[in-house]
Amino acid sequence: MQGIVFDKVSKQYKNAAAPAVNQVSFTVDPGSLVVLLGPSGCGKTTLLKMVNRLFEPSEGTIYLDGVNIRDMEVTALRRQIGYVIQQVGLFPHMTVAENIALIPSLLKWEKPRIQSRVDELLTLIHLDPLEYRDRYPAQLSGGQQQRVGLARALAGDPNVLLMDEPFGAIDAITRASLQQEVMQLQNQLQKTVLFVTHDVEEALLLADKIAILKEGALVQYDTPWNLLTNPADEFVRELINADDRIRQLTVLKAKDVMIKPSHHEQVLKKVQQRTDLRQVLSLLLSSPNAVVAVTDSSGKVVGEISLQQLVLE
Amino acid sequence: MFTNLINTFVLAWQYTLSHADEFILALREHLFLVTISMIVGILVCVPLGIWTARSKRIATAALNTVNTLRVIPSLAILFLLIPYLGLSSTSALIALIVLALPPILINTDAAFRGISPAILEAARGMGMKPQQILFQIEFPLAAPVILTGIRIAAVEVIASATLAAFVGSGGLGIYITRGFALYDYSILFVGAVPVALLTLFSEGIISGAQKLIQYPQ
Repeated sequence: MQGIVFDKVSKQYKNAAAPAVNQVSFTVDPGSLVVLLGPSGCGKTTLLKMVNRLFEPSEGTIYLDGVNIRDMEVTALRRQIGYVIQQVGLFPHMTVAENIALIPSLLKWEKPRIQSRVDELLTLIHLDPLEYRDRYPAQLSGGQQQRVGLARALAGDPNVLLMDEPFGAIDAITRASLQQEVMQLQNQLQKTVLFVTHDVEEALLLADKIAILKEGALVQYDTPWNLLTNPADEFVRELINADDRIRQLTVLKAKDVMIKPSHHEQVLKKVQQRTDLRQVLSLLLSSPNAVVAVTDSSGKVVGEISLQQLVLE
Repeated sequence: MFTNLINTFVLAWQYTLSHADEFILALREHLFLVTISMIVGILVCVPLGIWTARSKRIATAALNTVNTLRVIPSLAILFLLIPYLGLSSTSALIALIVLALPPILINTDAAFRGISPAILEAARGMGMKPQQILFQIEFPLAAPVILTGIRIAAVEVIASATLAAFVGSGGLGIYITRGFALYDYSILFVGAVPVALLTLFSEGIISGAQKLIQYPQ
């Protein structure tokens, strides 16, 4: 069994009346990004931190790629899991390169391999290695620090990434660009990601599947689209504002609703197959004939969308 | 007034030259007292401070103890020790160590306590072992503040080591007591000026070390 499996996991803190996490079971498929979503105190961070054993479950078992994580040495387990936290937690006395090199050197990689890995990762997160390698964390902006935090988590080439509200302390504009970057990276790297947030838009944007938690219990675990169209209960409906049609459009892609092209393509505005329907709607509203063309990655027109395709069900 | 001062310096210089052997011995004794008490102070207080930073109960107990010791004047400690240890350098050393403890302990405790929990959580979450976290993360981060404590302690110990002369352990204090007894300022200067220079010198060295290890904040 690959991926992360939670099997009836509970966490009871001492002196707490109710368990922080209560009998949670679900599976994170390998290569997928799962968001843990819920209000403060719903147990999402506790659940996340049990995966790298910063907390130990009171009951239940977590399996990583089929192995009970309690059977692994705790430091060995953590070195194969990338960990990104809201406060970033870069080491202020180490340069950017030294921060990123930490896990590879704990894993006893050869020096040249570490160096090329550092440059590779800096390039991946769009920071010029020559310019940023030798800077200290205090010499970076908040957004740059979290990029380095992400690079540091990826350094040991882990299969699993845990992200605990990574963009919670970052301004809206930078957050949007970091979210785009995470999506891009995820397309490229296909890690198994567990991502905690209380930002519904962020969850809908990034998640392959969302686990909604309430008072420690798993309320619903499904794809963004299914959550929006089939919320399990009133709590989920209200939390994600499921009836909002615009919000539903954000989780659908152009390729999901496009029809065969019939118009002369030259006159149409174009969108990619992966463009979300909210953007398509915005474009439609500003197109004279209210039709846009959908192109594949080579730029060839493969479909079209008019307002009619957005009025569904 | 000013010519008097110059005169006193000249006389002090001449006195030093005519008592060169004695002066060098006194300087060595002084440095010995300072070095030993600083080493003991660091060896006791840095590990103790790391421990107290991890436990509130121990911190309260340890910090209260050294703070209580600190209010007893060093001279009083010396005289209290004489019945047990006699007129010996051990008495002087104990009095000086008591003086060195509080600043080093308080600063080590504060330095380790002040490390951001997020940094430590990141280190743990990345799979660093407690020992690796201590030596690769916590120590380098705490070092500038610990060094400040060591600097404060060194200044106090260098000045107070002059008291050793009262219990016959030598040091530059002999010139201060002698000058006092003979009512001769030039002899007093033979002790006081090198003590002041030593203090400035140690401040300079430690500040330099601090600049070397300081990271951008």
